[in-house]
Amino acid sequence: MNRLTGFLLLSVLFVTGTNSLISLGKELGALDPVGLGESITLGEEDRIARGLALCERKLSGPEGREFELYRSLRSHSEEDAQVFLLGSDPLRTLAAQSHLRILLHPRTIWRLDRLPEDWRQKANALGKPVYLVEFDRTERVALEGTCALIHSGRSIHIWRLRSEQD
Amino acid sequence: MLTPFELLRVLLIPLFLGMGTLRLLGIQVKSDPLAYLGLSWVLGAFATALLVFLWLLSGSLPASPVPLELSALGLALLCGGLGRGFIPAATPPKPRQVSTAENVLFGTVLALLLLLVCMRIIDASLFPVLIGDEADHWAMKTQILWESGGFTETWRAAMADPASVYHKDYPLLNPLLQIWVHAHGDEFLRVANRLPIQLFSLAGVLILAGALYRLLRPSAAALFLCLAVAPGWSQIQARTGDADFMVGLGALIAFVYAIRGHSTREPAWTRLAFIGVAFMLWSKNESLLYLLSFLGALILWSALRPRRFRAALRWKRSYAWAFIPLFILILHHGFNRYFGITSTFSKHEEVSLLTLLYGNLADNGPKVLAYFSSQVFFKPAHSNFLFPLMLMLMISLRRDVFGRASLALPAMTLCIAMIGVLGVLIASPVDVQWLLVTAAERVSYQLYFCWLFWIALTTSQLRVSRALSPRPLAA
Repeated sequence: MNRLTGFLLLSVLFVTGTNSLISLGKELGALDPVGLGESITLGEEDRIARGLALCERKLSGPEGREFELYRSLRSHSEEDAQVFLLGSDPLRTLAAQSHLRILLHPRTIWRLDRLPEDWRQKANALGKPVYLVEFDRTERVALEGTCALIHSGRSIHIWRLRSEQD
Repeated sequence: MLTPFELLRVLLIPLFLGMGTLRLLGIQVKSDPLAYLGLSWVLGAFATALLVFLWLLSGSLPASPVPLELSALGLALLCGGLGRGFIPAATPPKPRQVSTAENVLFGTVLALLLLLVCMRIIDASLFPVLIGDEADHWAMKTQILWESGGFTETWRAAMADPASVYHKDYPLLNPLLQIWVHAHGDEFLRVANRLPIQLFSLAGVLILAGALYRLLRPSAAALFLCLAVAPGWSQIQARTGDADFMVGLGALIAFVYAIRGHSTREPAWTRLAFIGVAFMLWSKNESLLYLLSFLGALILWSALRPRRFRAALRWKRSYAWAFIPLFILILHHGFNRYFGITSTFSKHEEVSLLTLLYGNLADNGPKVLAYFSSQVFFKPAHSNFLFPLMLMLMISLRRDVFGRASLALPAMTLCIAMIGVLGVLIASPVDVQWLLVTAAERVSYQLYFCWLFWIALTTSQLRVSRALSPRPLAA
């Protein structure tokens, strides 16, 4: 019994060990010295730009849009801002929400397929600054007049809801 | 971004504190030269997190990291001094007759694997913490704690908000280590914050290398190390700031050093094993399942071998160190209870986990088992067939395995733990398919290093194969 067990053990270890060695060899061979150099020297903002672009590439979306959005919202919006993302592509909007939630904390990031009829009353009831981000200009007509356009870029438009006094 | 000097302080101070803590346990470099640096990092990180926790409890972190660093350095010196003065050091292992060629092979493989893990860590730093559990659970939890300035009213309000962060009841070790990094930066960091957690991968390789080298021929130990580092799971753990590897690392330390304490009768190793349990318990909630699995295995073994169990029950002074895991358990659960933080899994709409398990068994059971057989147990690129191999050894060598506490207890613990993981997934109140895709592999491989160590231990103790076992000890 011991011999058979030993033989089986060695056989499995031989197969898995060979596979592991091949996989480790491939990984070592695939190391990119330029990439490793950049990993050490790049600034944090550049890393964020790369990370966001990589996620956009995976979803076959236009690259650089989320980084632009992140930079613009970070510089234009207050920390207690409520940011609503309006997008026609649910997957990309969801990804943007997930990333911005982390990067722009403590701002709250929401996702909407489309604006509800009474959105203005609801937004004002929040009692906090409200921003609407349009991907691909879906709600322009509804927003003009009630919101101020604060940033316009590569198929992104950031609007700030005017307060009722405005 | 951290300057090189800040980065050095972030890494070297916990390492120094770890060395002091190890000396307090009775462990020095020569006691376990291969694992020493890895153990220093684990113990140092653990002690650093406790210090950060105390600072946060006492109000908020100081504006500069210097007082925090000085308290860590002071503690390191105190622990080291107390250790040198009062605690006898563990006896170094006896030298073994090993061929130079085999030693060179082992050393080369270990160096290459360490280099590879370092490269994974560096390569991953090209991308910030943006997605997955490292972002949604751990970095977010850290960010809330950091921006609230500690356990303040703002933090309490954020914890009460259902949308702020998922799994609020998860332990604090990982976020506290990230806070330690943030304390050294000028702004909130999104890359370096995961570094202390990534370094556990490096520590894991060193600790496993030390353990395998004592059990197997160096060439076989090198092969086992390759099996540990190659899988996709290992790659992911070195690249992210998740806490899954931390759970496995704590379990591995507990397993390796409890066995060593048992066989060498050196109390230092038993003390270290208890620290491993504490580290595991403060890492992630699955650890409680593993602790319960061990208790279940202990009950089973006491029923199977009552005489041996009674003989093993004799009190040893080193068992008093069990107060550390007990303290962590009380600290974690007491903290959650005090702040009203509850688990999303233990209760769902006032229904217990067992009720959920019974209710979901028919629906989720087949899905979970089918997924595990195709994606976990028999997926060579990830599992290397280790769990089935472990079961094969347990069944074919059952008399020998169940005759020895050092093999039977861990084997039963690992099996009960796997059954427990399957049970939790089946009972899950959320969509099981989603849970399988996002969490099943990550969680079920937490004990991967322990499976590997058990196979090595069994191979060595039962002399299953001459090709793997070491030559006799030198006179």
